Amino acid sequence: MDILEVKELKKSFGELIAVNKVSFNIEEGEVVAIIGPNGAGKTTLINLISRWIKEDEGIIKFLGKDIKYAGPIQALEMGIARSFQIPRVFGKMSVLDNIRLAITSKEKKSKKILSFFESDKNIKERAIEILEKFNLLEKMNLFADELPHGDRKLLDVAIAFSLNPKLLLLDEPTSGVSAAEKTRVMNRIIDTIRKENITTILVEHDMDVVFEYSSRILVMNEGKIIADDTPERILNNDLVKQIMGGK
Amino acid sequence: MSVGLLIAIFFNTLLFFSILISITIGLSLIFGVLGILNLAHGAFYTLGAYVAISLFSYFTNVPPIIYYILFFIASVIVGIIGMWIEPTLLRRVYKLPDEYQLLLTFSLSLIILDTIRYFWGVMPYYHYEFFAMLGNSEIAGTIYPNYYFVAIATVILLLILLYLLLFKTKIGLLIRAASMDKEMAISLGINVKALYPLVFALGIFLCAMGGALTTPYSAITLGIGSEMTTIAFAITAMGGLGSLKGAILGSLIVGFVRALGVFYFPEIELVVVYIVMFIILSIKPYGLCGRYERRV
Amino acid sequence: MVYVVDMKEGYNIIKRITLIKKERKGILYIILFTIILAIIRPFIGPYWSFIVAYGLIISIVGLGFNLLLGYNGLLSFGHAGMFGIGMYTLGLCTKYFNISSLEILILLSIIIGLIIIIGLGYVASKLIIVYFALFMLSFGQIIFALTYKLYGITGGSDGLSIPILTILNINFNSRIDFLYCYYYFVLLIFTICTIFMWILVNSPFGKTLQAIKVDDIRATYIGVPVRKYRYIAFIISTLYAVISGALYGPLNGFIYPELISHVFSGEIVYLTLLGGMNYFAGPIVGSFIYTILKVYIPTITEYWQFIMGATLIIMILLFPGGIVGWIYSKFKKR
Repeated sequence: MDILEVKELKKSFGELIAVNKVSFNIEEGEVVAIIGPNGAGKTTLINLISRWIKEDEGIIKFLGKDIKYAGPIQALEMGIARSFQIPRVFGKMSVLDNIRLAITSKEKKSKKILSFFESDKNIKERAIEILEKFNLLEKMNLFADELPHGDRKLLDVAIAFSLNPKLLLLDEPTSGVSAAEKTRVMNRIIDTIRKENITTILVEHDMDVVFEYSSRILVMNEGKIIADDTPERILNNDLVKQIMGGK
Repeated sequence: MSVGLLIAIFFNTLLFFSILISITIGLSLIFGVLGILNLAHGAFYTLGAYVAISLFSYFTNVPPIIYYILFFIASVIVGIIGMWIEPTLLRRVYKLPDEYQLLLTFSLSLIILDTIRYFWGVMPYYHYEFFAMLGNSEIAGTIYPNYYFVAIATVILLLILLYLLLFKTKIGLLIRAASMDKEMAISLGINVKALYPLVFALGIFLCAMGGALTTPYSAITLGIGSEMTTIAFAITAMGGLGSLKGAILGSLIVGFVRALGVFYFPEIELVVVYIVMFIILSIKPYGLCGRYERRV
Repeated sequence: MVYVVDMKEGYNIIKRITLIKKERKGILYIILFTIILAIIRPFIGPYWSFIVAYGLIISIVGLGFNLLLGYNGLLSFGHAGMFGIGMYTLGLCTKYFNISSLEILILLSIIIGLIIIIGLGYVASKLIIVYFALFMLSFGQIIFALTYKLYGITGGSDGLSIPILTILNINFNSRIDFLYCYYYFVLLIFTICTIFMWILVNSPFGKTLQAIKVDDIRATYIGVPVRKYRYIAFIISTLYAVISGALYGPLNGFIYPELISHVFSGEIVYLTLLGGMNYFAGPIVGSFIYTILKVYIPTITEYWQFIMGATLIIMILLFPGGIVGWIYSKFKKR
């Protein structure tokens, strides 16, 4: 079954049509990249799928269910998690706690009042496992805002990952990360994703990253999808080349 | 309902509006540019009133024009005090979370109030000479004190000057730029550090003026500021933080409610403001006109 | 030989205690504190018993207040209003319903308080930062105005006297006898409230509240129902204020509106910051210092507000961690 079906999705902000009748389907296990110039509507699309904002028209179906009335929390429960372009982490809390909080919330344990947060060994172990996957284990006791930018992006993705998503939406996972770090960061992310077979959509500007890691590319421009194909064919697509300014 | 009553309510509304707007616009200005919610605003209002009344008692038996100038002198003095406070105290809390700002300005109000108590004592002060000097006018059968016209005209004049300053001068442009986006303003080379004390002083000046203007017809006590702070915040919250239009609108509404209240239900008039604020916030958590822009 | 073995045993015991998790240690400290206060009572006479009881009562409202401030980032200038609700419910029940059983009165105050809190909290949980502070301020002022203006019912500024109540159906001959027993009652409530609060802030819920404080949008994005949790925190926080207020009446024997003006709200803010808003024990330490200051400062100077303001500014600029924070930093340096 297709994990995600998007039909004729439309969203405007006043006069500006950010997403203009977009349609595509995604199968389980795919790693799809969305590229396009600034203002093409990529982040808006992510915001719509993760239910940060609601669409004006169109249908989004996740695992066959229409998610029209879902808010961010319901989307999470269904299995949609996201990371942010400017990484959002709990700065004044430790890296370990960031992950533990996410797991606690996912397991519906955040309303527990009569037990101690620290006592939950299972959650602690799982958090440590996840941190290991993202190579953040040595930094687990640092405060999240003490981390360098690349690690903060990793943490943001790790948090999304801890929420056991079936669909992971990554908004520019390597933006702001130095060229040297990019490979390390992306390798870690993609490694982990592949191992758990998590369907992933990544919005990216960095073409090297896109071509290296995705099996399918959607090209957006001015709110519309103008190409939806494998990396090799996108590479040779003239229209795309024109829009992306020759890369 | 006689014409006389209507006229009285109309001018009373304008009068209350004038006092309220001088406080609220200062508050909005300070919040808009510095991002600080000044809980000490009421204390400065009180200070303005006390300084004005002291000046009056030094300069007795002078022509009205001198009196009028004294209002401005009192407000300028308080404004200068404000200008000194910004770099010394306020600047330190910009980086701290919002709660600390509120707490700092709250402490400031405590200090100012007790300082006033130290210098002026707890007994109320009165000085009605100027008020009497100006006499009354008769409009449509009602007698209305001339001083009120002077007060209203003064505030309207100040508002016009403020408008001209903000929208027609270069400094005004800098101020508006800084209020919209502090970091942008800094990177454009605007000397934000020098601008802040000025804006703060301006806000305080206006607020002290409000206090000073009440002296000819009120008993000046230590408590006049605290209700004013709350009302000013209420108006700003109702109108939406940082919105100058909201401040004007809110002040008009509250001025009107107050004018009515004086005639029809004097007993509970003050609580009415709290109740109104309570109701508005219940329905519109971000105020009527504005949205509190959370700084990301 | 025996001496050396004893030392080793002792050392092992100490080592085992320090390995107990920090959370369980907290409960131990609280109980220890309670036991100490319980033991000293017969030795300190009526004056100091009163002061300690007062400090304990204020600690309760302080703890409640700090649940919102330190752990949730919400500054409430209206806790005096909730304190007043507890205080006056108890007072009015003694006056109009002739109830003199302490337990029943406290229970009634809690129930009535809860009814109001549940409605109030629903609205309050929508608000943030200054809007919240203002909303609570206006609430506090409305309560104050009510107690003041409805003098037919509440006695207005003349106040209401609270008779000597019965505890567990025991009658007392004098206020002092009552005080000696009431002290233990207050201590018991204090211990229950404090232990509950300690468990709460160290629970998954408490940790999630802190996350909401740090970044409420991110919290939503890990699936936390932010508004619902704020609502729950609000209920608990204000309930503590209600309990605190109800406890105050019988202690003081006399209640009046000025006790719950915005000045008192400000003092609650003050003592929490003084003790340290980022530390659990902060409000408790702050309450006791505040109580002592309130007793002694008026004998030195009448400018209590100035002192409050000045110390508060010093705390904010130099010791944002409050007194408890300062003590902690001294220990860490060792």
